[in-house]
Amino acid sequence: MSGVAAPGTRWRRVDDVLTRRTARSVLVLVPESRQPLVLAGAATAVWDVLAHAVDDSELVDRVAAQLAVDAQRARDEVVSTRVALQRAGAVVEA
Amino acid sequence: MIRDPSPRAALRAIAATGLSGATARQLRVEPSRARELLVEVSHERLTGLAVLAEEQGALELSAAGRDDLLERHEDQLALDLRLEQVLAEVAHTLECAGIAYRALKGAVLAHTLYADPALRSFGDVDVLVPTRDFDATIALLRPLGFHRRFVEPRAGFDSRFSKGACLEGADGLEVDLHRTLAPGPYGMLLARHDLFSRPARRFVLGGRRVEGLDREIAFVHACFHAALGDDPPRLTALRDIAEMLERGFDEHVVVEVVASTGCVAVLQRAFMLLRTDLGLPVMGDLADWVDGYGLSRLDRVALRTYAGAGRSYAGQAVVSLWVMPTIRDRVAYALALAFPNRDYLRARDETYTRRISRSVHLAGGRPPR
Repeated sequence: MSGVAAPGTRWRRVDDVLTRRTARSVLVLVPESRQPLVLAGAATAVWDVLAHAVDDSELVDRVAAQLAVDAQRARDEVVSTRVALQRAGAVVEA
Repeated sequence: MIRDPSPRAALRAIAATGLSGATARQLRVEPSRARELLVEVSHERLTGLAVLAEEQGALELSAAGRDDLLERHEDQLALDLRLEQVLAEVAHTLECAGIAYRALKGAVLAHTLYADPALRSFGDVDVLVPTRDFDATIALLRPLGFHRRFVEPRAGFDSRFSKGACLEGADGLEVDLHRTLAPGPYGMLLARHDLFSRPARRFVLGGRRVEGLDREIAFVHACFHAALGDDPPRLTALRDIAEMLERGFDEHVVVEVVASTGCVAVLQRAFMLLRTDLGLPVMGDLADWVDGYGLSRLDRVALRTYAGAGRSYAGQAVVSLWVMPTIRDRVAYALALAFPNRDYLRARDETYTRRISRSVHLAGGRPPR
């Protein structure tokens, strides 16, 4: 399935995206798209952590720490957000 | 605390949020009036500063009003990002073609002047190119889907006499292509200065390098935009001036440019608007010099064509004739406006007879001494 990667694969944001931040969201416009993604809630923390290359385990741990939630419970949502960002062209393998 | 301020008073206070010289005002907007104000906030592209004012406690909204503001802000930011994408594409195209350019206003100021680009929104893309490359640039942008929104009176008119041309993309986004920084006589006067003589201010958008106007000419442009643009003036333009004054620039360069081109009156009007509309004290050597300038009769007549009851394109056209350097230019300009091509007339639902009658009337004016 697209987006599911081998363990240890590292991810990072695409370099040439355009972004804006508000108090509740981050807007991300990837080069091939004409419609910005609007990230809200936990997705903004996922975006913040992906400023540097991380694998899914590191991503889950850091997002969980940032949001002060249990990593095991956050895992599915964090990884599915990363997959969605990858499919949208905003995140690539580092 | 100001309860239920008028929309314009509220907009002025929002536009001055966080400026060091601004009088702190606390605005409370009743839920029944919030939508009316937020529509105006969106129209003035002040959503970023309104969010800042709300966060700082200077603007009090209900929970529903706050949600409405944040939604409007996200909509505006989505537009800002699309316009930045267009600017990056246009900049890349011009760079590949070897055409010098300077990005103006919106994205440049958002990224090089404001603390956060989300505080400075915009509605189109503005790019300045040298007059000699103006028509070539329009041809170059055609394959990207951009076409002229308005027909020019005659072929070559815009590249010789106009501020520029508005180009519209397939998705309705606009690129305002400039050859000078304002319409009418002051735009023509300023065009006597080489606006490309100073190094560009570079910044990166979406991985692409973009060349913006340098700080000093950007300041002159902000004053032109505030003083000669919309009436009443765009509050974003006044905020730009205030931001630039706070951050500083080489005032000697600004003085040299506006004095050598006869445009000091434009700065004087911009400073006056900064005081009256944003309530800011404008002080210092530059303000003293500008305030001490005595308006000429040409200034008084020219300024009237940009603001108030006398504001008109026709009036600007007449005064433009007076500032043109040669008789040949004046004749070509007057003939083009009196006898434009048929497409131009058709677009305005006019006839040659009506046009000539108006031209004769305009030509009757005498240049001021």
